[in-house]
Amino acid sequence: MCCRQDVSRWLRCGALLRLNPCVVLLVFSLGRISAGHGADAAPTRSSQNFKPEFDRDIRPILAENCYPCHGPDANKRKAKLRLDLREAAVTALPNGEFAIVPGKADQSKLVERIASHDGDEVMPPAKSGKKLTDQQISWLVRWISDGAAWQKHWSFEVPQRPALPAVKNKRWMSNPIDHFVLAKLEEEGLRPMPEAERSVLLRRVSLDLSGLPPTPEQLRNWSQHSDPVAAAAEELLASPHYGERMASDWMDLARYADTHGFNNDVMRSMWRWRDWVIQAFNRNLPYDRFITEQLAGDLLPDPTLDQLIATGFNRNHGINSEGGIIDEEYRVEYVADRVRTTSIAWLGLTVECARCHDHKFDPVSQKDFYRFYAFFNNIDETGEDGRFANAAPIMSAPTDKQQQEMVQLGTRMATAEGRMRDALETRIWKDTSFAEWLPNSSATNVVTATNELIRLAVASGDDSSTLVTNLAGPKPFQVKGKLELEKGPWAQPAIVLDGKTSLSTDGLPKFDSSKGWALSAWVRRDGTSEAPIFSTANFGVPASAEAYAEGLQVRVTPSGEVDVRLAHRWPGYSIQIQTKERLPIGEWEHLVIRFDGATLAKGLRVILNGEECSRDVLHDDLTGQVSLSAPAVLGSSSEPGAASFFGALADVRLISAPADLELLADQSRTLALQLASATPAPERRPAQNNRLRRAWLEKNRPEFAAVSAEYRTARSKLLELERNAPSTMVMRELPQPRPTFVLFRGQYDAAREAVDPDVPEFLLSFPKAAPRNRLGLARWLTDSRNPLTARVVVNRFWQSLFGTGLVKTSENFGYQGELPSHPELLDWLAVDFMENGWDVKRLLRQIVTSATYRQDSRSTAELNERDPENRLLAHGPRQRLTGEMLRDQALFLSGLLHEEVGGPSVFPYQPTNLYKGIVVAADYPGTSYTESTGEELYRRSLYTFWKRTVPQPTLSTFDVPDREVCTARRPKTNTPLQALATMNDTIQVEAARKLAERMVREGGGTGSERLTYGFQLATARPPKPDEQKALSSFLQRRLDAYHRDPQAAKAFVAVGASKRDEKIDPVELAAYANLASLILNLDETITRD
Amino acid sequence: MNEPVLLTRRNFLARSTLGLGSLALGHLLGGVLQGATQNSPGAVGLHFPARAKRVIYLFQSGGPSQLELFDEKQSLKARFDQDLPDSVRMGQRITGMVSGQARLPIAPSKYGFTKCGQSGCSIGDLLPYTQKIADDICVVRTMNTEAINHDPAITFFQTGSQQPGRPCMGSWVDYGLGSENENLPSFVVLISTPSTGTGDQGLLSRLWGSGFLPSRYQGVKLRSGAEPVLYLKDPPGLDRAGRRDWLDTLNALNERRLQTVQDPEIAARVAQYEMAYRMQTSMPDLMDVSHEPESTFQLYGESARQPGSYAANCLLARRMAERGVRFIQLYHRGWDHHGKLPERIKVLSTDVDQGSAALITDLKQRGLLKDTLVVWGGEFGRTVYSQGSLSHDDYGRDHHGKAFSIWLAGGGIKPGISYGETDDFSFNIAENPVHVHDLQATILNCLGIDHERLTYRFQGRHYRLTDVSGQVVKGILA
Repeated sequence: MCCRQDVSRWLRCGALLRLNPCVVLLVFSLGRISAGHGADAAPTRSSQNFKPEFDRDIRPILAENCYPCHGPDANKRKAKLRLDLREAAVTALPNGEFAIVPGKADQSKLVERIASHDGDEVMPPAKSGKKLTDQQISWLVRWISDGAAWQKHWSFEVPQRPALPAVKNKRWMSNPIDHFVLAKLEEEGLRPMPEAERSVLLRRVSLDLSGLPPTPEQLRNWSQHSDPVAAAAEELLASPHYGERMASDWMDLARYADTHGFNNDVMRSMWRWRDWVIQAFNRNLPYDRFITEQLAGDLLPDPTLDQLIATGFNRNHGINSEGGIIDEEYRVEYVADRVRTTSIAWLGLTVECARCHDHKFDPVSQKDFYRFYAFFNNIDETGEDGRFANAAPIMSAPTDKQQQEMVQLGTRMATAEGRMRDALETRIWKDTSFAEWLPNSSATNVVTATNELIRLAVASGDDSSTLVTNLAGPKPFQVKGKLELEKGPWAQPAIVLDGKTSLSTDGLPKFDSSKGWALSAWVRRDGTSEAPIFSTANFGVPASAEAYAEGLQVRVTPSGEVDVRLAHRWPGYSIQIQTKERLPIGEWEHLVIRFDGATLAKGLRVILNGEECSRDVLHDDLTGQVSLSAPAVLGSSSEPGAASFFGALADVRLISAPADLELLADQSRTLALQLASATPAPERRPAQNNRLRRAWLEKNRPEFAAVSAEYRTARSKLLELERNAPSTMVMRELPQPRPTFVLFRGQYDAAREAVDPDVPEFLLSFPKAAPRNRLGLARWLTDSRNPLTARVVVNRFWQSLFGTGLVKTSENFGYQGELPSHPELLDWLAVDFMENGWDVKRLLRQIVTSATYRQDSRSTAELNERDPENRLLAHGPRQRLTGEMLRDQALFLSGLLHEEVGGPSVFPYQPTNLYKGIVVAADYPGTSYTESTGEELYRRSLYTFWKRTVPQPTLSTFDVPDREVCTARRPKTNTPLQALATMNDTIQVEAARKLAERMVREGGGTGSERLTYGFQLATARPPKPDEQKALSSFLQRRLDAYHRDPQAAKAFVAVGASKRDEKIDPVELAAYANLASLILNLDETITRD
Repeated sequence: MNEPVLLTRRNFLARSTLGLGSLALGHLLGGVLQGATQNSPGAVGLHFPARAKRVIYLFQSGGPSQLELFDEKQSLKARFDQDLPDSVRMGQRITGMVSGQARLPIAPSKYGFTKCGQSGCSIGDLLPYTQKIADDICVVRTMNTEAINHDPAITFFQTGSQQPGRPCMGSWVDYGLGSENENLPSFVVLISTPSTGTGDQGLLSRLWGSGFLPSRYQGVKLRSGAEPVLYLKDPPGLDRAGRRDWLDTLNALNERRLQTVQDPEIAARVAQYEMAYRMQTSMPDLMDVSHEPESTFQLYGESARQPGSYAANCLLARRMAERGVRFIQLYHRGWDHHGKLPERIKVLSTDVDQGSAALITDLKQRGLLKDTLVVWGGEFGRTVYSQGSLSHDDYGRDHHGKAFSIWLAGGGIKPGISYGETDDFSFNIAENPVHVHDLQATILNCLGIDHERLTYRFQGRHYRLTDVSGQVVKGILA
């Protein structure tokens, strides 16, 4: 009925634009109006002969309005109609009708339905809340009438380098970028703005590339060059501050924080990763390497420490330590976060929707999601972790300085070792008797009888009644399996374990574990299977329980490393270390493990034959005292399926409150020497011979003793450095890949079909020769045929300089993303970037030296009306400083900035008790805030301690995201809270005072000179006469006011921790400080003009 | 005084009222109403007539036990220390805190209940003041959530998602409706700590964060004491006259800049500085309860004189409602009673009972209750079985999301009713379940907002508070 008429009406509108003035207007002004809701980009061509194009004009309408029910998601598809593929859209429907008949809008059901006025008929249905505009309907009609041509989505096609478009005003252009921008402006009948005033432009470049304003000296120097902007860019890109500026942006995407987030929001240590980012930008690491090392540094051949640290990118997500959460639920969240972050950061795709169902808009199926997920599902992590420190996998990441020291110590050790070796080899040892000078000891182990918890002893009897007793406890050991005895190193009885046998005690007596404990034993390893030699870990509770596997486990790895685990709840809340030294096969070795009773891995030390071992720390997040009072097992553990040790043990003892490490090591060394000495010379191993000979030389040759002491000192320093190196979280693959399944509705406990790692095929198939892991994924991402990566990356750098990307939705290049304002320019930049080695500095230099960038930022009322977001780039960028720049600039102008690069995060001023009443009540690291002192108060803002659940308030107020999730662009707000912060935040008031001091000291003798100086520092230009007049009369009024009330002046200049310049009269200083505060609050000062 | 080239303040404000209109002056925390209507905020609602203009949400953080407060189960007395039948638990997952426990023994409430008011609604004797307002409130006994741990559960209630990253309810409302006043933020957060001294669980600023909405929609957390809003106070040594002079000069220079570069952001900035200046007076004025009559403190209790107490925050909530603050979010911490529940719930009940009831009474007296929606409740309830050892006088309860109680009152809500029934164990829902998304949909509905239509496009998709579900609970609407 009425729909027929409607169709014909629309057809007329489509064909004869004159009929409907509204549509005519819309279609003609289309340059400024885009298709999708909120998608206001793509200012375009003259519209007289406008033909809607599928990719640019039609698909956004369909995706927004139709795909939810007629798109890629098979489960939600209605009426078997699919509009995301042409073939499906033009095929007959089950009822014989055609949604789209190319060239024949009047026969297309789609047209009838969208034009209908019948509430039951109209599409999209009213209850969807969606409605097509007149303009959208007219476009659809025209497009179908024109043949309904289909195109692949623009960003899914490999970018090709386009030819430079022809332009009229050839003189304006500086480089190829300008061809594209000018061509579009000329098409729109617009002219670019002239170049900005030099000083303003140089300030813009300086803030853009270093995050700091220029100094007057820099301005002078740069201005002397023939191309000042190029000169400035050169200097700024080489400055260490460049990396800091770029890192700030990247930290948003990488959701970097100094705490784990969630309920407990405990402090973590990831600043080594943050510093890696700063350095990566500073050394201009090619961007494809930047991607590869963060994604898969651990999988590169022989990865460097830096490449391992880089993988922290995928560990920056929040980690939950709330008691009682279900591990797997959160582990799944972490993997999903990696998928989300990786795909937003480098693919500009939000694949997250496909976690629960096929994507409604983009061609990503749920299966695709889990294939992608499989790449990130393979590290040894736990859902509940991070209650005190970093969550595994971790590594110790010594700083550059520590690494240098380590290298030096290594050299010292090597030199000393060489000299000792010479001495050992030169001497003829045949007749040396060792026994006589060895300290005489009847002890067979290092610990005394006091504080014993376990002492293994074997009551001799006939073979059938052999009893293994615990001399420290009332009951004998229970033997599981067949027990054999033999003579131990001191002919004491030793127990032989055949890989099936184990012994266990009753529960051990409770003791105060805060005073530490030591375990010592003679150990002989006979096989290569991984097995516990000692365990009190109680696996007898459900894996989800809080005390799962609480206790100590000492294990030997297949290659002989000693692995020590001390857990509250395995594996989340535990310490795990592994020695680099190995137990040889078939030899008795004396092992001591000492724990200091605190909660850190650095207090857990291992001594082998009297020498402390170097070790790797695999877990370091113990939550408190660990009870060792559960039943102890020798040769195995209560873990279901635990292997049993193959070897022999003697003299196993566990004591509380042990002696100092040095003393234990000394005694252990003596024991090892005695054993070596007691061993008949022909049977001694080379290691034993060396041990004895070295001891002999130490005793008898002072010069050797000196070298040996030098060696020991260096080694002990090296181990100390190793223990104190900062920890960082990294990616580390499990030896056996964890299988990945499609999760029904994204739920952790609803596994369906198994999938293998793979990438969304429609973009580019996985490179054939590449490994199916994150490294292969990195190759796929950085392949020049990957249509998205380079576009997404160059777009984000563009966004960083212009405020808005060429694609405004820098996080979404999919169907629902916005179309690029300058598609050819984007492709040109992307291809040029790849062809020039993904060179970021080159890209930035290219952009800032373009005439486009150099334009004056002034606009006009007409232009504001026509292109409010400056997408046509008819004038230069004008942006409020970021939160970080705003504070850094104030520090810089006032001379307060402490310019150190990198290091642990710092604690600048924060309102008192900001955490009070908000943070978790427990006293976890990071639940209280202690302000830094001295120069640490004045570091650049990116070093500010970032607590996810209570972020630094001023930075938050200025739109720095909380970093709970990946953020590709910041909102830009303008609020009264911002005004309050720049008016009254301590750091701003203090900076105003220090800037005032500079004005008085350096500005000249008169008020007008001084205020000019201050104004110029802040804005890079002198004030105009009327500005000068306004400011100087304000200054005069403030001087008058403070003369009347000198106490007020003193109070104002007392704000902040820095000393004030006592040479300046407080009344004068206060008035200037008021003025400086005003200058720091000027719109021009807080803006990159 | 000021130079002829530079506009005076009065000139500027006159101009900006014309030039900017509601752009900056109409909405204190910033700017343009997006995705919303041009209608004057709150008057007619965004999508249909509003029954409430504002919300006061009394969030009880930690998970109050419904078994002691609102969901009376007489029959449990006979089942003391019996195991929870498997037929009731039905494989429901339990937290890691009790999964190591051998038994799940039933713990009846130590405290009694009274049938109150005309409606005869059963309310726990721990809440004598709430019992008196029984005819003004609607008790919902069948709230349910999938979350069983604090962080995801509270995040779910406040943002509609268990995982971080989404805007909270107050931000959604602010985004949808804008401000009703020119001198105060439109979304305000107040936090009190229990008199037991410890809040146990963290409150996360994401709970009042704007997620992917512009940050101007985030809640402003007020602090007790002299500086309720961060950086509100001028530095020492700068008096009001000095600040005014400073601001006039700044505005004049910024206005000059606006003429030169024609960037409307500058005009907005000038307006925001003016708003900041006004807040410097209006906020302390709001917080200053010294002029409240004696009767106020009789109503709210003496603790209302103690800044930062729950009762004091309830009083502030009323003062903000009077001043047109759109969304007033209170949090009271300390309801997480895994052990010693009888002792601790008594303290918490005393903490919040009088203040909550006083707020309702006070709003009603002032004619504000009819267009103010008040919600009282936590992120989940607690288990019928005891966590840890059980005696008649001492027991603990673990988190329980499958059924728990909250109450609502005021604009749009049917007073004096209870809604929904749980089973004999207050474990499962027998009738009329109300999911978290349903509650959210209902709250928005009272404000004249269709929860399916208040959306924001982010990362290529339209997001809404209720994600992909949520049904307005018609049975509790007036």
